[in-house]
Amino acid sequence: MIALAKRIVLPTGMGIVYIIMVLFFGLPLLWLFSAAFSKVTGIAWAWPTALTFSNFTNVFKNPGVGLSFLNAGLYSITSSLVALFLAALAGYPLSRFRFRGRLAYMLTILFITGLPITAMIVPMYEMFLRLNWVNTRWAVVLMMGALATPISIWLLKAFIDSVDPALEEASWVDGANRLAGYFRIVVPLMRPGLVVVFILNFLGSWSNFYVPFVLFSSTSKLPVAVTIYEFFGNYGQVYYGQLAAFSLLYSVPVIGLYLLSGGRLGSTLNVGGVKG
Amino acid sequence: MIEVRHDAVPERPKRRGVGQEAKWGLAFLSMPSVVILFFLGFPVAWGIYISLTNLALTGADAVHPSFIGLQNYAQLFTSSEFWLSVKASLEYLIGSGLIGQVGLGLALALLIRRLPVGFRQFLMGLIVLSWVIPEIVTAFIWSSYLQTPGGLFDVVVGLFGIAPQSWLYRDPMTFLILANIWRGTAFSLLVFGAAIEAIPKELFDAAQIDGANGVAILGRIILPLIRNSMATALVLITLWTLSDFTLIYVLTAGGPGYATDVLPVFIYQNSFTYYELGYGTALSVVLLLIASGLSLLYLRLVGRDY
Repeated sequence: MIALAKRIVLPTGMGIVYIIMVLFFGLPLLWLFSAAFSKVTGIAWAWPTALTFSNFTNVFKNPGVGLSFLNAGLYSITSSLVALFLAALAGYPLSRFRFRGRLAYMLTILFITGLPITAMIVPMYEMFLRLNWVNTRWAVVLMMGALATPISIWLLKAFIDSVDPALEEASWVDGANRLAGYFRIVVPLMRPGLVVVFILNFLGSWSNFYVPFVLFSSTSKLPVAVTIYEFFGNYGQVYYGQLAAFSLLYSVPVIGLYLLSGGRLGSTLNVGGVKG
Repeated sequence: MIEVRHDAVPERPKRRGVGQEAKWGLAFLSMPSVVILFFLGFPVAWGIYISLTNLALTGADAVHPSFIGLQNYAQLFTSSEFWLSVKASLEYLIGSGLIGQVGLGLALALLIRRLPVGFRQFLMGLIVLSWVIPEIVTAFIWSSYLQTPGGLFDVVVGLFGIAPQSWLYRDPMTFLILANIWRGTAFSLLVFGAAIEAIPKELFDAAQIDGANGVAILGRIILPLIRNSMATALVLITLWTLSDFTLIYVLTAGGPGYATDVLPVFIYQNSFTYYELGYGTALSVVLLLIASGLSLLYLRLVGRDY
């Protein structure tokens, strides 16, 4: 009897849970994909009857959409590079030298990564206001880069640790100083680490809505994250198909980079502190 | 800070000049430190100062704010809206962060290993996709999904005879929580999955031979062995959930009333809708203090290995 119950009830129970989970996670995504490719317009949901790409082409007929993708690309790439450069600099002495205060420095860095941007944005805005930096591209890029720097330092340090110090020490004998030795010998060797940290930062900046939402005021400077929000507010309730297509287009780089990095993204996050 | 401790470089004793190291250490660390201090440290310190003034975004108080001591804090702690906001934040945290993401993440991590590979990969794909897409898109997806009448959610529950309703108006917090569970569960699932995977198989075999049932295996083997991952995931998810803005702002903007007016949204409204930067910053400092406490906890969990 118990054996029978285990053979039938348990799998059935698991089957039901499985179906509920697939529905819970799958249905909202089903909306996204079906609305984006469906000819049906209007709010009521309906099974797509014919495939169309017109939603995607129509999105770009809205003024500013193309530009906002360029903006987002520009901000994400430059701010990620800023963070990567600063993290590469800071990571080296933290990995190689044993100076007093090193541990305190590392822990302070880790502490900062826990501070939420939502609690810092108001004084940041105030600071930008005073310095006349509101709506200034380079300042916002630097801010986004600075926000990504602490976690990047923590992640990159682990990659620098894995490069044998003997390699760069050989270069000092040839007369190169530490800075040159580091950037010529160590940095190329940790390229995989640089790529992963760059991707993580890129994903973070690309998806960042709050910072550009508060710190930019003119439409022509907005990245997709904010443009799509304004599109939603203005037309989203009407042009569902376009909103879905816009959302998909905006998500494609993120999904693509995630797939591209494969499992490495997860293992890097583990280095960053989430330990078993 | 960058002073070199001579006795602390035992690995490679034949180093050229230790003073060299201090010099280079300083050179390498200076630029990142200045940028972090200026862009992140300064706003925090500045924020603490502004929270003691009556600074406004416009008007006379924008140009010449005056120092008002702890008045903002006094106003805050006696304001019923503030406590409603704290209540909303706690509901959101407990519902979506602790019960939802951590609880469901753990349950799924246990369940998913017993599924046939194809089924497992399909479900994992859906969950990870929900996690990877930008938060603002998540907000649109849920807004359209719950749209009434005619939204997909209405269609599905309609199959069970439930009448269409304005879900985000009737029961806003529940649906915000569901949306955030949908978005965030992948993280704890991945963390717990990896931790469970790392448990030696012999332990399970031995327990099975001893006749332990599923509950005993969970309570005596799995939970004790993954408690570090669990603690870290708990702290990180708590931090992220408490500071979440985008999903709530887009779905309900804090309403109806103050039902979903979590602290980050409340801060935004006071600062940028009512232009009370001083008051908004005092609120930010409160959130910052809560996050700092959690962040210290996180340090203790992760930092002990260093």
